[in-house]
Amino acid sequence: MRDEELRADLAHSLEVVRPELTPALEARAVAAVAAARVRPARPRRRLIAAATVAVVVLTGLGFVPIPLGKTQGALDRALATASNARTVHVLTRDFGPGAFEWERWASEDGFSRSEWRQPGQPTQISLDAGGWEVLYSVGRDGRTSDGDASYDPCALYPVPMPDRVEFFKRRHTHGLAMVRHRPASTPQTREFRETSLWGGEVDVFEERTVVVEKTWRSASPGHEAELSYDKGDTRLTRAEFDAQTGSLLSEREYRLRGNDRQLITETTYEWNVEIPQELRQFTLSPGRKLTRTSPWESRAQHVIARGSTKDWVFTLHAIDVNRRGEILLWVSRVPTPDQNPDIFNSAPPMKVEAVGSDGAKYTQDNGFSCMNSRYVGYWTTTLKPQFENSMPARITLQIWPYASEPCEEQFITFRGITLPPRDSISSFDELWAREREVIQY
Amino acid sequence: MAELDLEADTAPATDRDAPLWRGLLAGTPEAAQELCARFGPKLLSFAAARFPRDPSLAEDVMVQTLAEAARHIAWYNPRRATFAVWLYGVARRQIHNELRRRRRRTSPPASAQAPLTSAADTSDGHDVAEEVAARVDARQMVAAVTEVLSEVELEVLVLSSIEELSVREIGRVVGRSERAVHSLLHRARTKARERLADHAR
Repeated sequence: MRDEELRADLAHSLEVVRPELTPALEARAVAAVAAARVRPARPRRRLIAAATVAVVVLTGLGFVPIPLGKTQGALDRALATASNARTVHVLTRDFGPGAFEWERWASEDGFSRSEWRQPGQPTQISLDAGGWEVLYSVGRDGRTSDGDASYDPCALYPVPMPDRVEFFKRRHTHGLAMVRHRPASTPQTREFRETSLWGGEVDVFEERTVVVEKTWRSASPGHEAELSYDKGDTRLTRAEFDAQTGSLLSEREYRLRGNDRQLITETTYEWNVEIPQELRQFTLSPGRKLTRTSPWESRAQHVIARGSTKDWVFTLHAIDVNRRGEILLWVSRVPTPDQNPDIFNSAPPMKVEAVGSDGAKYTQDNGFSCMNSRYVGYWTTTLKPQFENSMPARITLQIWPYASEPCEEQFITFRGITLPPRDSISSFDELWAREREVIQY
Repeated sequence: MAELDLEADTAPATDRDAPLWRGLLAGTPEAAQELCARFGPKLLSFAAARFPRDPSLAEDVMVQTLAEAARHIAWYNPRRATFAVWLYGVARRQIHNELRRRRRRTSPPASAQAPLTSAADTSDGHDVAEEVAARVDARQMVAAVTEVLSEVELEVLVLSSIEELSVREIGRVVGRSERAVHSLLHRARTKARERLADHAR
């Protein structure tokens, strides 16, 4: 089929399947357009530049930020702006011992790339695209390591742009009265606007926290840095926002000790930048291997049963049975739209009780695997039969959201689920191995 | 969204929609009707490709897109893109917002939804069987194609099919370079052809 034929066929098919623009629908659309109140345009950048020059000419100022008084709501404006962003580019520089750079890109289609760089070390790269996460590293000679790729079904639930940036995640997932996971005083905050010759107008949000208990900071995995916050030190974080657009521009962390002010980390943000195509792809060096693990890829969009409680929707995606009669459940848990916003999807698995159609009970194994985000969690959990020779045709499952907090009123029951035939494998490790592919480059 | 530069009448000579967006800016009723007539059906196609089994959702997205466009018409900059490119960008944002909302509502995945053969509609006396068959064929084609394409591949393929946008303009809508869109289109067409060939067997 030629391109033109495909184009014409698809256009025709879309014309056939699309809803008809009936008089009623047209009237609805016209009414909505007519009712829309036109929002004024943003002030043009030329005016801002002209105003800045005027300030310089009139005041003859040097390179000192000019406070312009208090403002409020910069965090909320930044969150709203981030919510509408298509892409973001984030660069974090750490200036302590074991200094590192951490660079990230993310786009609204779910793509993200993270590069972790330390002097003298290979750059560690993780790439998320289309549900696949790929991890590998690149040495200074340009050669890559072997790679690992795994399918993450959480990609089926796109994470809003603000939640893909640590700054916004921190605001609502961590208590503020902590410094490096140690208790600290309640933060003192202030907001104000500044003008500087080099930065234009920025809104500033500062937060000061006094350390109550000494902390250490780990600069990178496996590396204990010497930098610490002693009791009595103050951690100062300063976030800057574009006063015109509301966009988050930067965040800096300082340690204040007596009269000493040390810059610890600096993170800069660029919004709606074009992400170069080469960053969306990867290639391993010749001779390297890529190990792909994909058991969830064929299961995540399959549904055996689904049910919901007040706060959770449970979906049973797949079941495997090994030759010993042990059952592997593939289950997801998603918050309902009306769920209490303080409830999060966290790692501990669901609690499961099960009874086979032959009356045999099943015990949930302590081990589990989990892939979860704030919005969804995918688990596998193993059920062991009371009797190894149990061969029920069906099973009834009762599932609670958490094992540690049964939440008696929040369980779901899936009755009479048909079990598949027993697999020849004796353990589910063999299943994971079977769904692992090694690609030689 | 970009801003409208009122001082520079820089509408491209080929931008046939200049009277339309100027009318929207002025708030004329005729502009609202023309906007709907000119872009309504194609926006419905664009949305239907993303929500092939939910026509009411496609309708909602179309209405929301037109309303958002009217609300932000002062932000449109004709020097940066034609009105059609800008409008499809608005539509894309509405679709993504709706997808996020739907995924939080955990609507059943495509594999668990009703089979396509239940898509029969009544008619006004035409050959019902032929109409239903044509609709089923069309839905199966759209479903087959959407199954194998990523979101952005589907977007570029649909945009190239329903609207006379250049590769560069499509790139402006989806936020990719011209080169990237060429690559995406090539991949999308190859996958679509292979999938449709498999489907036909």
